[in-house]
Amino acid sequence: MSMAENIQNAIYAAIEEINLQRLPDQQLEASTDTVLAGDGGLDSLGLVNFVVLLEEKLASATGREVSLISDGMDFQSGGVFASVSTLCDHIATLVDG
Amino acid sequence: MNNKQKLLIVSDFNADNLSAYLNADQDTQGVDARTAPFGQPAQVLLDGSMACWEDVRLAVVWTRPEGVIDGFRRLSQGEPIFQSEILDQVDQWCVILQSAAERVNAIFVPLWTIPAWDRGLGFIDLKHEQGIAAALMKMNARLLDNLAKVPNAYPLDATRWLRSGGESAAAAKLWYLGKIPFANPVFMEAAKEIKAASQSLLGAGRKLVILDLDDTLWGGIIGDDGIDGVKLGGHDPVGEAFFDFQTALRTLLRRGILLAIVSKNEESVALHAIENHPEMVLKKENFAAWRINWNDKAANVIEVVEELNLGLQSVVFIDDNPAERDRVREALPEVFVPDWPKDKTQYTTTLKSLSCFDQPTLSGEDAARSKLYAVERERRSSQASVASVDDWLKTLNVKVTCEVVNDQNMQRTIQLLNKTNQMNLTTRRLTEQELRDWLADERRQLWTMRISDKFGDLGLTGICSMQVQGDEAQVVDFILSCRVMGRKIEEAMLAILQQNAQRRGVTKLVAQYLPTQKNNPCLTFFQKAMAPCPSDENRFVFDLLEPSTFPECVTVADGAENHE
Repeated sequence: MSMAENIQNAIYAAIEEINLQRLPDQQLEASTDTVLAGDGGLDSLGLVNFVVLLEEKLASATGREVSLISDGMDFQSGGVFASVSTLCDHIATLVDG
Repeated sequence: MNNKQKLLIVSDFNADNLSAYLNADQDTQGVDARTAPFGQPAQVLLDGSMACWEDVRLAVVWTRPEGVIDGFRRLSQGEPIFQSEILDQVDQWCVILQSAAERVNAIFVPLWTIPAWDRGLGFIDLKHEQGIAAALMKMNARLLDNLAKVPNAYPLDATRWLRSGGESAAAAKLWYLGKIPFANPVFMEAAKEIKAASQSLLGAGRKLVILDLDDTLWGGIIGDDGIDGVKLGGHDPVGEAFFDFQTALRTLLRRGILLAIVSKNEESVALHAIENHPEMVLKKENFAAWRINWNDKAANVIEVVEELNLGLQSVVFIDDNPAERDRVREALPEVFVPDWPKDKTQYTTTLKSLSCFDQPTLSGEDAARSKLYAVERERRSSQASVASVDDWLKTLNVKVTCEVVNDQNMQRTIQLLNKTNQMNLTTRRLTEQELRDWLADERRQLWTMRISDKFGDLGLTGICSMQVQGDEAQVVDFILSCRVMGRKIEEAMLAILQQNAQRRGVTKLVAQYLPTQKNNPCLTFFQKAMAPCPSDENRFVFDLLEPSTFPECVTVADGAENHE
């Protein structure tokens, strides 16, 4: 499995877990287009939970410690958390770096 | 019907994840959870006028020890503090908890924990006066002592929830990002336990385990392997696992959970094994009922439940065969059919991890229940030898000992009030304190009924209460355990109410039936026993100018010579 697939699967696994604390009509889809932050996505607490879960999943999927929190990161406006695909790209950069 | 109870979470940290897990559960018997503003638990607990308390029936007060006990916070930072000072602060905290307990049905208080990574003073942490682990143990012991005096306070073992979270249970990153001290598995486990506890308070705990035999109670097929060939006990890992599983089932039995068998087998062969295998922990008399035949298991489950006068919602069905589990799960959705491991060594842990058997109190009747059902089986077999039910009832020598509720029978009264579903006029659920408050008004009375017959003591299995208002007495509670229904005890209870109402000088006894999904048997009884009101078919009236009539086949005795 390629690194990109590992990253995407880790994100989907984190989405699956985060869905356990969301109502049926608030479930996030495991899809590259899924909006993570901003309208239709997770609120700030949800995003905090998601980030911490995802870091754990990435550690076991890639064998590397990946920190998704950086100084001045703006959760609300989306940024790297705009969608699953933007997040995949961002994590790939971190892992490559 | 949506039975969700409003639950308030009070904490010194961000507990939104706990409320999210509780609310994501779509079970109609679940809870509707909300969190109080966090970081000010004492203010929230003391101020019942805060909007967050509106309609709240249950509360969870989950705090970090350093968040509410200042002495502990200072101790954990290395300040020398006398443990007596810390324990005084625990006492003060408990006074605050007690004041909050007075405004809800139940208050759940998870014990204080510290993260596994906090080693305090290292290996002398439990030995030294300034050790935080030692202090925490004493604080929790003091908390338990104090809460034992608050009948509707239920301490919960949060250390178990933390173990579920593994190494990362205390999540530093979540704390710094969101003031969340625990990882999500901890909150999931907490939500599971709180849901089970709230359901148990509603009387929704499971009361009967129906078990398969082959590869469930013992290893192998009794019909093929014979009594000497099945694996049970002995020096064999699988045999030992089955022995332990039976021991765990016996523990449930001692908590008042009934056991029954539904198995595809030859009855004579299976019963012979149960009675004669030297390593059987469970004996034939431990099973309240059995259907050992080749019929459909779902149909057999229904028969067992009917025989025991229980509802399907009381049942847990355990079978090693996934096809049988699917069949029962699909045919009888009210029955709880847990996924069952293939690995026999996991049976005991799977059983012990089920929270569906939780109950808010334990009484002597619980421990004796299975014996009572065994006697009941004998009693029913005697029914076959007499001509009519009435004749049979006469031979039973049923005795009802009536007694005003008192400190000695209060626990069992509360348990019956909150557990009984079928013969229950109003399905009123009360905590001990609420009942005591209700009884403080002299217009109200409640009697307990202890039943016995020639086969033995059936325990305290009935309660009835009334309230006098103007020229009528209103029946408030009319409750009888399903174990003793249909023996004219209902008629005796009604006569007791009529007689006491007559003594109060009122002219009418009125019973207003409040329907639920389960209490139709109560309606059927009242339809036969009292005249329905023309304008309301659920309202029944007895003219007290008529004499009250006790059934001939029941003897009524005065338990404390004071039932009026």
